[in-house]
Amino acid sequence: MQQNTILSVNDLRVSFRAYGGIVQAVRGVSFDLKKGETVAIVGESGSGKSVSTKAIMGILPGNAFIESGSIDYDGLDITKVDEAKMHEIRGHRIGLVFQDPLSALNPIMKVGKQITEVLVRQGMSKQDAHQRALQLMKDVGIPDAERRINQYPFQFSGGMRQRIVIAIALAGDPEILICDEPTTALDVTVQAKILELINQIKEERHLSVLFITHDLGVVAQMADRICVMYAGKIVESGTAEEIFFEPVHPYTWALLSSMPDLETYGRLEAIPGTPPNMIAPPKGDAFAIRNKYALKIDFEQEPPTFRLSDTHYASTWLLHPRAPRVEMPASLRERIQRMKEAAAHAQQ
Amino acid sequence: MPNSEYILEVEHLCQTFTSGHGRRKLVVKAVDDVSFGVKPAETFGLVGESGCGKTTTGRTIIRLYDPTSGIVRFDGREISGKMTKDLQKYITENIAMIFQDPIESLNPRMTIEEIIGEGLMLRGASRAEAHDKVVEMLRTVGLTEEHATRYPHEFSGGQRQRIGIARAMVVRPRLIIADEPVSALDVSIQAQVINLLNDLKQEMGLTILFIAHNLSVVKYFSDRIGVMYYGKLVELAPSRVLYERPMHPYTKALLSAIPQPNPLTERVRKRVDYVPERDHDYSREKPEMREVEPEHFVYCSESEAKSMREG
Amino acid sequence: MIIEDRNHLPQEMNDIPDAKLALAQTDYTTDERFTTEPIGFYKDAFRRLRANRVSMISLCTILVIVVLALVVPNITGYSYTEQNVKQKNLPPKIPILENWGIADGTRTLTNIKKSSLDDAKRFPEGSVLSIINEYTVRKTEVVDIKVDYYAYCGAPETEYHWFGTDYLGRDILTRLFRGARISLMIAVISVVTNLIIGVIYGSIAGYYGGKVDLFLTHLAEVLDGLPYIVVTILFMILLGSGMLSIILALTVTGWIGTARLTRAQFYRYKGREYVLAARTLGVPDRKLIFRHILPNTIGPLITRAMIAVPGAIFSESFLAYIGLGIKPPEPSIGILLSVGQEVLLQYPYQTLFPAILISVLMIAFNMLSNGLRDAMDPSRRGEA
Repeated sequence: MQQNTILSVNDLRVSFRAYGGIVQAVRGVSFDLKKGETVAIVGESGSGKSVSTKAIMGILPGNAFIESGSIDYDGLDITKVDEAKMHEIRGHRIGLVFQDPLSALNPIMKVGKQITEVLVRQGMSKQDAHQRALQLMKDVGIPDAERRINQYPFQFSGGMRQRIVIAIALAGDPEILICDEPTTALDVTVQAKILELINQIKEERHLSVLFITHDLGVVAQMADRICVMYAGKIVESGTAEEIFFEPVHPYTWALLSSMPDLETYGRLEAIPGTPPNMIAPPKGDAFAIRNKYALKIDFEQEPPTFRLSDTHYASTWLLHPRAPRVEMPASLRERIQRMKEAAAHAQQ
Repeated sequence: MPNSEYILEVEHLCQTFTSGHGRRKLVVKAVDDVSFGVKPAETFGLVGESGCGKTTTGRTIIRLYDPTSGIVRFDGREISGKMTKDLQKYITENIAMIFQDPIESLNPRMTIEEIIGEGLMLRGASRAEAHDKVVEMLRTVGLTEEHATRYPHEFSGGQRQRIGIARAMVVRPRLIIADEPVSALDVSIQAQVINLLNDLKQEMGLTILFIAHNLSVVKYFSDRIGVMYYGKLVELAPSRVLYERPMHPYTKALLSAIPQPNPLTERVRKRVDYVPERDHDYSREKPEMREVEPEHFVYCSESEAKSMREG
Repeated sequence: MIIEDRNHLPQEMNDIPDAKLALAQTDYTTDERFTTEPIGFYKDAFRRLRANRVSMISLCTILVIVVLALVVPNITGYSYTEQNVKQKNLPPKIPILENWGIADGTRTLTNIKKSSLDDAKRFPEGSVLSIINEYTVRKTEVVDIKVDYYAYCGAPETEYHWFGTDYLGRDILTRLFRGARISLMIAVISVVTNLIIGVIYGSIAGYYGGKVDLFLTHLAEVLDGLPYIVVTILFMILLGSGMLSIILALTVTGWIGTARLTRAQFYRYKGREYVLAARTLGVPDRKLIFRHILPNTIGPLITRAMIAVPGAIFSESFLAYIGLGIKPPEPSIGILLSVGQEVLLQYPYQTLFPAILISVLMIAFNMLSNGLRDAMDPSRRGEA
């Protein structure tokens, strides 16, 4: 483990027992989270991104089990610690922000109580906890905190509720914040404010953030490094610039070009078909059947992971030196060109 | 006054919902004096955040709700008046709707053939005719004949949404109201559905009222766009104009909030907030819809319009 | 596997033939076909019900009881009205079992004068099997004896009452299953009537909502306030005691629960997007109710009806028990219980058999409805 790495996931495999067989949700995922950086995991529903984070938090549902791999945090393998220790880690060291703030909060408990609960459990006196809760609510930008501390979750708007959830996550003064689609349920303007808040508290508290999302726009705003997941595997990982400007995996190409941006006019590059059934994952590369650029070997053998730079890795046979040279789609190349120009323009 | 330029005209549409009685009576103005027109074969986008009344507007047009006041005309005929058999027939023959939730919008107890064929059977098609058309429609949306005997739960989200589109299209409507048709879908699936809608629109010369909160999608898909805020239409312009020269402060705030898939610009992005109390002074002048430049309408006061025109 | 340098491949990567590294040119046109059979809701529910062993045992039990109720009264050779004052309160006597000393038609008589044992009129030949106890009370020799009660009552050797006879010498087996038939009929008819009324009433209230709903709901509440026993007695006075009055008594307020359930289900489903979608297609109200909304509420309704059946049987028994039962000599499980409990200490078997039957019926119906509820739970679709 490197000096500044605080969380390291190694070859994690998680499966579910379900009707019809065993769902292989995560099939060998490895990544590191360094101090003070934001790593985003991008993928569609069913790609295993949420399951990976649930494994890190030790909150996998009852029918799930970790087949192999380790999650190293602070010299401990999280997959092996007992529930009591895990509870301590969750409250103190790792904070969690969920997608749906309404279901993450107890509807019949005052929000202040929900924040102080964490603090009191850590041995803080009630008065101190109350003061700290007030401060936390101010920190996450809730106006009129003195009055609102005694209100119930239903009295808050969606964005304010998410702020409460963040305040609870921050209560234990964690060093890692895991955000699982924190803005998917929110409106665009509210989303923008929450994202800004997360970036701001990350700076203030030197947090490491693990950010799960399917929205590439959000990723661009948040991430230092990005892992793109498909069918339970990381297919490409790299810095935000590498993923957005120099993507090499066909799935990353497809993801980037399938969403219109404000300057898209022609036909969209859609990915045909649907993600594979993870009870019986296809042989070879799981994306092959939907992939325009699939090689014959993709249907037989899983591609190895090629290192492109110290930070940029991708798993595709297209990187084999003898593979045909395949360029990214023209529309995507144009878009990247446009993005670079826009960036140059913005920096002037 | 009927304006032949538009196929769908909405004039001063209001929709209020009441709950409770007496002192606890609560009146919510979901749609508040909204007027716009949709030209034949164009896509009109209606954007806004949750609770802004865009969905209610769509549902009121197709008469899932009875409008509180205001007039809606389709092809010159008023469709907002008292509901009669004849009017119902007129509406269902001309307007169809696509819904947001691919799981919720298909009856779990019916097969795909029954779901898509229902509208045809209601219009007097025989079982065999309906079957042929259903199969044809399934092929159009990228499914096969074999899928017709299946039940909705056997399909993925994107497939279900395509089935929902097939249900709306099979009766050959002239106007489609698409209420957030892609927002519940995965990114890779959204593009499939958008492409399908685009193809169908071109093939059939459809007019589409596209309701969504994702501005990038609306921009890509629509010819003209209306922006709604708390029940009011605040700005209406051709989509390019709206994105290049937004006038209303709310539109500006909305546009500045869209995250772009570009890490370099995202890191330096400046977002503006919309605070109605700060951004408007309506103590002396009343705001209303004003044409600030040709085809570009903004809900503002006279003095605001003047400063907008001056740029 | 991680390859650090693309230009220095491990051997097995270098060995990959060029042919395999060519573009596959996949042509993805339509979605893949399904490999499984299409499964409708009811088929799926039935499959899950079949996998539930307790439900299947309960279902079989109910079916067996129904068949017995239809068949047994006709093949015992006795009719449910046939009285025989000589052969009253006979204990159970069942072929084969009698050889093992169970249900052999014997009974112990106590405090019999020893001298009377010789009286052939009182104790016919062979009726006294053994003397259990001999003692003297006030200089009289008294015995406790075990008698073949059938012989004692002068019944022929071939006479078998499996469950014994009652105080009028009627065969309890015949009466029990005749009673089960009546009880089941009352239960099923009243439950079906309740279901029909409740579904229609609840559908109208739930579908139209607003003022219609307000009126109908309040009307149901007023009806629900009527005291049930008083209503039953009123029906008895008006129509006389009989099946009709009991069924009416069970329906007067019985449908209200179903109506409430249906109404709640309608409120839940009528705003669903698929119902809205059907409305935008111009589907008429009637079809919306019966084709789009009702089928989705059927699960809870069937479950409720199944639970209501033992409830109705129990209500009928309760009415019979307090003397508001159907007209004698027609039996029902409740009447048998009420007659039996009067002689519970002397002839416990007269209560035992009806009690076992009603308990088995109620448990079976409850277990079956539990299974049905799970089988019809839409959230468990596709599960085994």
